[in-house]
Amino acid sequence: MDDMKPRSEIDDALRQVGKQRDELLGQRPTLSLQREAILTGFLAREFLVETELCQASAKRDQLLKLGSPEIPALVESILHWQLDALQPPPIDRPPQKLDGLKPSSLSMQQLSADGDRMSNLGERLSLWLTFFRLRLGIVLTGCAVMVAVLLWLGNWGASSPRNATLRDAPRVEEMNVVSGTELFTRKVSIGPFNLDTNQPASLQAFLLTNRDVHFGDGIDATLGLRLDLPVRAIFMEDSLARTP
Amino acid sequence: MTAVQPRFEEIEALGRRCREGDLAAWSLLFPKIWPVLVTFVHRLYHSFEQQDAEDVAQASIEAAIRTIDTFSEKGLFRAWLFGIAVRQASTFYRATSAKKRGAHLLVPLCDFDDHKEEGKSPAEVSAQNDRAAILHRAINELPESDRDLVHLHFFGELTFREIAEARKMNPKTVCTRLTRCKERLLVTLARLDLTKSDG
Repeated sequence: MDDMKPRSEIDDALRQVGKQRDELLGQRPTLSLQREAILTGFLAREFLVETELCQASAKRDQLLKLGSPEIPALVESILHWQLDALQPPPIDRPPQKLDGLKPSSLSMQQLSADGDRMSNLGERLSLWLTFFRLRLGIVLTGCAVMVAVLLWLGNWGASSPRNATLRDAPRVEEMNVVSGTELFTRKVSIGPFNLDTNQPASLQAFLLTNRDVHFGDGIDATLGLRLDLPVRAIFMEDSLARTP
Repeated sequence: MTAVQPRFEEIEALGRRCREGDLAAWSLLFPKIWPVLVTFVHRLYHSFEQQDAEDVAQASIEAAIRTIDTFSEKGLFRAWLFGIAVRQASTFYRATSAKKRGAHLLVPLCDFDDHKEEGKSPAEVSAQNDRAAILHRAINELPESDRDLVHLHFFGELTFREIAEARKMNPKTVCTRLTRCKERLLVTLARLDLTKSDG
């Protein structure tokens, strides 16, 4: 107890000092305008960027004339739609990657109220997204793409520009028949060339030598007749076509 | 105390907003924290006048603006700011003491002319001032960490728990250290009194 007495005395003495100092201070000190200006200036210097941004924001706010504080109905519905999309998926399956893209029925109803066009777009989008989210759908889509590519490649080979040119050009055997009748007194029948690009071997040089020649008089001796075909030109064209 | 409590809560809320980067909160905080801070600083040193206390308070707020990131928000904003003010006041006190030591004529001739205390005889006022001056001298002789606790507890009116939160200490440790501080102060006071009576 003797120990406690001086400690309480010193407590009192210290508190008394505080009171005495407050009495000396007189009235409750208030922040003068000059001090406030100094502190505000220091704050502005210390947070230069933030102060500038605040001032710029204040100026922009003054320029902004908000006629009605309400949010437009269309904007609100779109925001609701996005909010619904952010909600967690049903419990029966784990969340999947494209879940956020699927619109809910509630949001679709809200959209239909805003316009049928928007609603139809959303429904179609929903169906496609549902289809693409299935694994079977992905596999089927892949198969369809591959079949389409194969078909296109087949058509491309059959309708190449060079083939079209050959088709449009006068047939070689006809020319040769004409030239043959003029050059020889004997009647000659020449078998047709097979220049279809589906059989590319027919374009080889030695095959372009038409050995299928029959004379009208029946003497079909092997003449080894090499007709004057534009073999060189065809080869050149072929090589140019193959150059990458 | 009940009237003061909401004001303190408001200061704490504004302090947290400042910590979170709300620039506008500072402007609201300045006039509210100012009287609290000036009063606290004025209590710290016997030689401080109001102008000195205001200078120290301004320097403390500027330091707080610069170092607001160090306020952890777990403790009281007031305790954090008082900690800054204690250091600022110490620096100011050392600087002014050095000036006064170098210039004898700068010692004020009439210390208490501006604050006349009614109902007390000049002898009583003088005795009170002497006791206060002796106590301040005794506090200044404490180690810095202990002095900090005494300032926060007796002049900042913070509880053990609030000081503990501000200084990241155990409240019991704060209590124990303050008890030792008071014992040391008693010893110092006794020594000073003896010296005075001898003189």
